[in-house]
Amino acid sequence: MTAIVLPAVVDLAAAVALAETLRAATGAITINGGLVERIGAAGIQLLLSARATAAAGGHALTIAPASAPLAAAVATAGASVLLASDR
Amino acid sequence: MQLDEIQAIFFQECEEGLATVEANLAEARDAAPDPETINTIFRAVHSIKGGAGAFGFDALQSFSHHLETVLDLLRTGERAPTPELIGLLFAAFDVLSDHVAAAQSGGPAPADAAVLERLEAVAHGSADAAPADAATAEDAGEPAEEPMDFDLDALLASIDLPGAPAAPQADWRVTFRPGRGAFDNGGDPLPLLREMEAMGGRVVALDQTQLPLLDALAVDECWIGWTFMLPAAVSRDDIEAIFDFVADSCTLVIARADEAEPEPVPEPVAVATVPVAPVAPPPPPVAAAPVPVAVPATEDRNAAPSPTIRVELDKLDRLVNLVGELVITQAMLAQRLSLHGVGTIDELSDLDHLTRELQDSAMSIRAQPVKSVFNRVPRIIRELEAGTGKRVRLEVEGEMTEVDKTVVERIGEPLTHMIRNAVDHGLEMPDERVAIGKPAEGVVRLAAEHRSGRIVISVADDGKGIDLPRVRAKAVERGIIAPDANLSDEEIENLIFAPGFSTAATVSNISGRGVGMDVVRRNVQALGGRIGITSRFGKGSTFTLTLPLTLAILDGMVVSVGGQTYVIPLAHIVESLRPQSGEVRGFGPDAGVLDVRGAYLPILSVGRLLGVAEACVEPTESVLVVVETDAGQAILMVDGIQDQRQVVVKSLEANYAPVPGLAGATVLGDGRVALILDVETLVQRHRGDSYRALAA
Repeated sequence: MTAIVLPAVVDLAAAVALAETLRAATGAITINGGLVERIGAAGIQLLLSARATAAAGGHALTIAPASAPLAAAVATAGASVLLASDR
Repeated sequence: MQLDEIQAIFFQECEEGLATVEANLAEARDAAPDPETINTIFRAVHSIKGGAGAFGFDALQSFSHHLETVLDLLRTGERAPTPELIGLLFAAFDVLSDHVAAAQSGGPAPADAAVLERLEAVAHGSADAAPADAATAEDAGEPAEEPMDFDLDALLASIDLPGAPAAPQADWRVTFRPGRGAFDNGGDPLPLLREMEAMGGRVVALDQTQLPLLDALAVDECWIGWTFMLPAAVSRDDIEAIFDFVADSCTLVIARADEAEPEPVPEPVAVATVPVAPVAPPPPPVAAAPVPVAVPATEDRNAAPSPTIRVELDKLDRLVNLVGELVITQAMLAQRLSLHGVGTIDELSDLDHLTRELQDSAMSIRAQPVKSVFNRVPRIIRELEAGTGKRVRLEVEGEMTEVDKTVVERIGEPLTHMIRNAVDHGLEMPDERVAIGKPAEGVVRLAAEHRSGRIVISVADDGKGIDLPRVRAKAVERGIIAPDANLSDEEIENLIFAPGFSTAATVSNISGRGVGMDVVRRNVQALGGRIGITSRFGKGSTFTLTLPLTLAILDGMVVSVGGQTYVIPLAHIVESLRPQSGEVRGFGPDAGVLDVRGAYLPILSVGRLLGVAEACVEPTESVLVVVETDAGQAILMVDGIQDQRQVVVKSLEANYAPVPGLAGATVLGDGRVALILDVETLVQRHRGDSYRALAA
């Protein structure tokens, strides 16, 4: 089980750093997205990939809580699945 | 959201659309249809057509187009809703249902040529239903030759037409796949998506088929793409302007939603092809709720149903499960507090009420009207009419009765069998009926109602009823009962549920599909329900299906047997009593019967049946619980009664393995697990044992 807190700004640079953390994660992943003020497509793409990777290993990736800007960006990108619970 | 998820929503919409069409067709058949009825049918078919086009289900789209054309002529008053035409629409509806099923399963398209030909005939004015010099689409503005008794202008006004009289334009579908270098130099496609949203656009698909897993992901390259729908009114230039700066480094396709349609056919009336997504601005995103990004528009703006939201069933089940846990925890808390002498504080009783209310509310979210199952019955009846040559009038009552979704889903099969049985075995042929003074048309009455915490569904027919001597003879012949068995009429009637029993002289392909009434009964019992029959020879039969409203909660009596705690479902319990010595008569080495108001009922020791070592074996020192089962009344002997309460049912099948004689388990207030008795099976098993013992 790994717990990760997203930074306020998840731009490409933050996504690159976050990718390293996610690659090192084991088991179920819980991501706190409550602080996010801005997230770009690179961040969303990374989270989608991380979710698929976790699912492939039989683990859940949960984002909770999600700040309003994060939820809005995810909805715009049609990636609401990120905020849906797995089970 | 993936394309297949959107497609799943489309099929859900289809199902709802089909139900709407069928219900409104039935209305149109029974009484002169009002404009809104025809309109509603038209809109539903139109929506199915639009979605089918968007997903490339060509056969479905083509068929619904032909049906829609005829409906449109009906709607504009150019064709009158004659019984023949309504009959044709029913036939077309059946084919349309088959088309939807074929599209969903990926199977071959159904044979629709015959119905298409008839639809074409009506569309081109050669059918009886049409006026001789039938108008063409261009004449739509002319008064119909057979005036309809409704205000055509009001009808047309009520239809959701685009403002321009010219052919409507479909919404834009924009497929945007940024290049790999989209993130270079601080680039980000997300603001472009926001601009499309600002124009009223909405994402309908996120393409992540090329997105690698983490290990292979180059985070600084873009691997995803999107499909958006934008309102038809937006100009192509405005859309292109959004992508001015990235046009060279991305794949961009801007097209009208209907341009992909293989056979664009002129629309008889100016109604926009259904967009895959509503054009309204997207609702504010809700963090935890799934946003259905594509919902085929229903165009239904006249009806004002209360706002709804589509929620994944899994989430709902999780909620119900959590509420169940909460109820258990609340009970545990109450018990713990009472042990410490603080059992009667106000807050605790408030909490009790709140959790109960919460539980009721959570369960009511899962409740659905049985209508969705009842709506399938007319088609079954139509098929049976065609197959048997019998004439059937279906009467339906209580279709809005609500019951848990799981129960709704699982009553389809027994209900179908009961209907088949009523028509195939119950009703006589029209000439036979006339000969005995009955109307040629038989009646099958389908009803649902709530009765003391359960739902009761009955299927009654006015056919020949059960021929008791014949049933009895058959049962003797099949070795189900002894030739000299003394059975009441009710017991004889219930023999049709015995395994291996079938009264049909020949196995027809209607009722006799290898599933006997015994299997139906078993399936119903698995749901915690009962099925019974009452019949009057020559007058008809009534099958009654009694089911719990939910499978998640159960009212039960908590009893102790030896050191164990069990729950007996309250639905089975008639009474409980403690016998005086001498009232129990011995019956065999370790069996007994008790005279309960004139009826000798067998006493079953739960301890012996389940192998509980320290269980009380002396009836006079035990509590006897009289239970009602399909095999008649019996008595369960337990050591004592602890409590009567609602328990949250936990599946043994899902958490352990099925155990004969046990229906499930529950967690009690003190945290112990109590097993829920499967009373039917226990009593039946006991009877089986007794019969075997007697035969040996």
